[in-house]
Amino acid sequence: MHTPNFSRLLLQAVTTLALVMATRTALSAAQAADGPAPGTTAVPAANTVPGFRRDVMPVFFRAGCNSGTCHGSARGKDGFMLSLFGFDAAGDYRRTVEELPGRRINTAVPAESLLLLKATGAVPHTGGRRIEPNSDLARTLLAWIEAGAPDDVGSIPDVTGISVSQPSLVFEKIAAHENLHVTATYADGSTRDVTTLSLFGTNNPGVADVAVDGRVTAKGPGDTAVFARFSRFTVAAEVIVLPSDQDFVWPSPPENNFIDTPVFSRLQKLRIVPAELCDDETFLRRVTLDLAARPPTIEEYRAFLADSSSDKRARKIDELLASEDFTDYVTALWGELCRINSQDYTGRADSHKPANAFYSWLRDQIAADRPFDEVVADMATAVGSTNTDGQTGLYTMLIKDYRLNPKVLAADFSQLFLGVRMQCAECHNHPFDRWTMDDYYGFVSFFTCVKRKSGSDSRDRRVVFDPTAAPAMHAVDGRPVPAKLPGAVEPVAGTGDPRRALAAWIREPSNDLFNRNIVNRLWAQLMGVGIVDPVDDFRATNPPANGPLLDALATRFAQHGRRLRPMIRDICNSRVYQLSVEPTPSGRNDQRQFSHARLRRLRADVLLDSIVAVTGVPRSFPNAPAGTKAISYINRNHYYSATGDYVLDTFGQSARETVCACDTKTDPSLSQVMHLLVGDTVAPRVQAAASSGVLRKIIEENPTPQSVIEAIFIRTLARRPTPDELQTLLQLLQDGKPEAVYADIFAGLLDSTEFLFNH
Amino acid sequence: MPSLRHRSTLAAFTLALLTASPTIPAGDEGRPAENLTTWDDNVAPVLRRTCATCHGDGKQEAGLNLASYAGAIKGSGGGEIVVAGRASASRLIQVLTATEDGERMPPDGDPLPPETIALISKWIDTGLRENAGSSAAVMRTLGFKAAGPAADAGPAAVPNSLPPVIRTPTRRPYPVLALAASPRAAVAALSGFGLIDLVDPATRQSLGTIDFPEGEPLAVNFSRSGRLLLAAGGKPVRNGSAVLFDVASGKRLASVGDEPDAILAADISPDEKLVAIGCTSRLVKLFSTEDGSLKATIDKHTDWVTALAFSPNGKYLATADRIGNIHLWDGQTGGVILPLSEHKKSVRALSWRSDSAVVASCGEDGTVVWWDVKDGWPLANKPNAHKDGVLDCRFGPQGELATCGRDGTIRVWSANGQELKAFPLAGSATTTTATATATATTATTAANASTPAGVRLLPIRVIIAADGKTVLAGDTAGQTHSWTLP
Repeated sequence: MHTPNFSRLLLQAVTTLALVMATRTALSAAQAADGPAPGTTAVPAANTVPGFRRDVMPVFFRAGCNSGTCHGSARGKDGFMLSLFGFDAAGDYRRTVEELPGRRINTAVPAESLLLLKATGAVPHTGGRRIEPNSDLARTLLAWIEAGAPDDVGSIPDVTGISVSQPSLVFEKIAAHENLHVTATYADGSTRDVTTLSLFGTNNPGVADVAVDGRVTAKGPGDTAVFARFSRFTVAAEVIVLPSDQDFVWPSPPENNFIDTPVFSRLQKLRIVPAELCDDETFLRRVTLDLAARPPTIEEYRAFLADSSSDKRARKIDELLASEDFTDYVTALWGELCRINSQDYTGRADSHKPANAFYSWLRDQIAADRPFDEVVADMATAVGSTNTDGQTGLYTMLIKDYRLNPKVLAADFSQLFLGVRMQCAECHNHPFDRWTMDDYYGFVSFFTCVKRKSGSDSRDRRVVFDPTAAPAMHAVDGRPVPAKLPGAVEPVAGTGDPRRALAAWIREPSNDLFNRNIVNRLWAQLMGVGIVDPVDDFRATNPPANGPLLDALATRFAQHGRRLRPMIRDICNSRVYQLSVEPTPSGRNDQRQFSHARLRRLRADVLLDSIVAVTGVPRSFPNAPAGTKAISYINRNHYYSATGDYVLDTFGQSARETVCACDTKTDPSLSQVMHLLVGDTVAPRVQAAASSGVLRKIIEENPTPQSVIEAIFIRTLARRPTPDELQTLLQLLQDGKPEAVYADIFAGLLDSTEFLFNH
Repeated sequence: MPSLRHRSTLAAFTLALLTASPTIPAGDEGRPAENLTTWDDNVAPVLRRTCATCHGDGKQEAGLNLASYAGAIKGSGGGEIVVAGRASASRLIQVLTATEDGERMPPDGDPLPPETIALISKWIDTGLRENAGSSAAVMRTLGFKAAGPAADAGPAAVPNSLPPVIRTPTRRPYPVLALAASPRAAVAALSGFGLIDLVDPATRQSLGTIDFPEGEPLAVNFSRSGRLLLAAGGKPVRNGSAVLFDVASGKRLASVGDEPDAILAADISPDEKLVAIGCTSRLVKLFSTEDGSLKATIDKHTDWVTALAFSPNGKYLATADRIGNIHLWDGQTGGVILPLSEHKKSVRALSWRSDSAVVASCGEDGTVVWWDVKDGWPLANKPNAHKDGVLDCRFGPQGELATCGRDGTIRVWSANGQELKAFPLAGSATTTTATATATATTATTAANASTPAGVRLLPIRVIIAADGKTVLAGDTAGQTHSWTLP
């Protein structure tokens, strides 16, 4: 039975609905040619008051007002400060409207507002003219001021994400172009075209350029990413500019495993022909250096070259993975990243004993090929004595000062194990990725509860969990931010040590941040450059060179239970890893797509160990026992040099002062050349080898000059000499004493670029 | 002078130019027959507009200050930039016409138009005249005579039949950015858009209006005798000057200062001989009221000078800045006396007690401090006097202090720092809206006009009138409110 009221309501509802439908239809008919419907565009509709957060702050962003070089800098500019990219809307309103009433905003005579006059360049402005006087941006500001410059009332739906109209662009010709559109999604589910309010950028203007209106133009062949930014979000679009397809024939190379497929697929798309497979000599030297950090011995060489089985490369990989040398090397690499070094009796946390304990513990984990997520989880949740419980080493080696600063710990942990530089979000939201200050302080709060107390002796520290510790305080409003995983909304549940929640998250097989970071580092170590480069800088504006490849590796890594050896085995067994360094003509300019192997100078420590191995003359290191390899050497005495040994310094060894992968340098220098030629590393060893060592043995055991020279080549370069080389060197023997000439050849090969490089 | 003026920015700017530099008051001085190109009339406005940001009083890139004639003649660290009679050999012209990116001035933005460069060249070629008077610098007199303590005797000045002033229509009332009470008469001055309103503090009835074509007054002060009104301000980032008016007649008596930005703070010395102004250039300048000359410049502040005040006995000048530093100077010479360091954020106001023994300061850190000027000791320090910031503080004749702040209240403090009364702005009993809008009705005593949603109403200025009982406050909506103390 309908009551009269109900009928009236029903009638009203139907009428309203009909009206709305009619209006919408009319509007969309009218707007079909004009563009998006009103209310969904960047420009506020004519009869609505622009909102401060929704409309005015995007103008500050788009016009560059709140960028880091202008008013968004820590101290502002010329007396006016805005929060960087607008992370503090309430503060920005206060500073713009209320700090100096009547000056920046003049609601009595809106056109006189300094905000407008300066932005349009009508009065002297250090930043110049940022917006055109009659533009939509200027009109938005004016309309807002005319309405009295009101603040937002109540809560305003926040932007929850942005997307670009085309996440992947492929251009066939130079100068071709496409227009990108950016759509923002809000917390109330609404969407909005914000192309005219976004900022654009490109990673490689030589390949593709993007204009302020979002137009992407192809500039040169290659691949790169362009990105759009709005609010605190950044999103990238892949751009491929194809070279001309004349003479391009895809050779359809064989694929060894799941790695080759995405690499070759992308190369085919980019019209790059991959290099040929490297020969056996090259493969043996490369894989031995990469897995055992030394050149192959003569016996290994002869055995491998004599082996005619079809799976000899796979078996060689397995053999090296099972060796102690491999364990030493991987331990050295992670030990370097975790900054293991020490000084004795400093009264701080980095005495020799804790450093040794950490190193031993780490080596044990690597030797057992323990799932790497468990290794990291153990380090994260460690408590105990630094002298005896090696897994506490992270808390002593990353923070060597007296004071354990949780912010530094959090930043280092994130950079090492997640590949994310979270520290950018300490003072403002991360400018180029989705991490907010909440994410940062929530992450720091995992570590605010860790304390180091005095231990049993002056070298020892007890790492303890302090349940009374307060969480980190947010920089803007000082509120405590309880421990929270990056990207999560709620803090971690439960009481007690929040590091357990962090460890549990690391151990989740689906933890993409962790998986991608680790496989990318493994890949970079073996291939010379990561799929994401720099390896410890994953962010939206630094996308992977080959997304499907990274995803495939990460998935496989999880399937392997996050063990390192199976993953490395897969990479080394791929055809991509075994390609020659010689590029094809179409691959000549390729730096990032793995179309050919990269020339990589040996690390300083590997180089030193290689010289020792080849010459057979050992090397001692300060404060280290005899027989210590350079890769296993830990700096015990920082007063002497950055790494503890001046030769390692000279060749760019990391001084372990930060967790950055960039600390290891392989750049050339004159000192390096001089040291090799006249320093005490090569020459005395060659002398010793010649007088009573390996060189003498080679000369004695080989009947002909050819076989002597051949043996020297195999020992140093793991290959036979070419006929030309042989002929040239045999001629030298005519002029001088054979022993001296052989010694010169030996030294010359050790000094050669070929020896210094992994190819 | 025509009485009807266009309120376009250009006209106002030109007007400000003509009245900003020290001029002879009232009546016309005959203009020279030839049309001379001079610094004052032709060159200074251009250079100030284009160059003052980097070559002005605040910052002197390459040691060059183009804000004054003397600075232009002196040149830069590299030497002279103008050679009298030879524009072609003058560095100024060379950089204005340079084509290379690194050499051209201004370095960013468009180069000066050719006509302007030609004008400057003409100025150089015709001998670098400073003004239309003569080629040599002359003492410009204002015909102003400072009156000493004798002015304190006799009846206090009240406005008497001031000529009408045309009010520019504004979209809504302009905020009351400056407020002052005559120390001897029932007169208060409050700033408006391009004018100063004189009202009775208790009834808020209008007593007259004074035109301020320079722009918006940011600081108004009565002289000690109450016979003079100093108004300083200008147009932000464009021009600023300080003008002395006769209260009784509203006549303009003298004008000092020629700044590239609106003047933020100003005061007149008790003997009426000096006017001090504080600027965004971080400088405090002391001008003589008799000949307009610059007597002293104080450059100790490292941020905008936001407040300054002479002590009633003329011995001290207190200045304060945006960082929170306050300095005490000799009121005659500008020599340094003491720093007063307590505020952590911008100082908004300074006020002297009538016995010149105590100066009060207040600021954005929410504190009010009473200082003993003998040794700079903070006698009383009231933190959180107004939450989020104290916007003004003013002594009354009996030593009580009125303050207003961002919490929307006006408070009165006793002579020894105890809070006596607190008045909320919203819901005050008597309110007047200044008659500044074309659309609004004339002055009424209606209840508060409602503030639109999202806009906060803030009391910016407060005074205690000469009777010691009336408290008058002005707010961001252009309204004034008054209360009576018990």
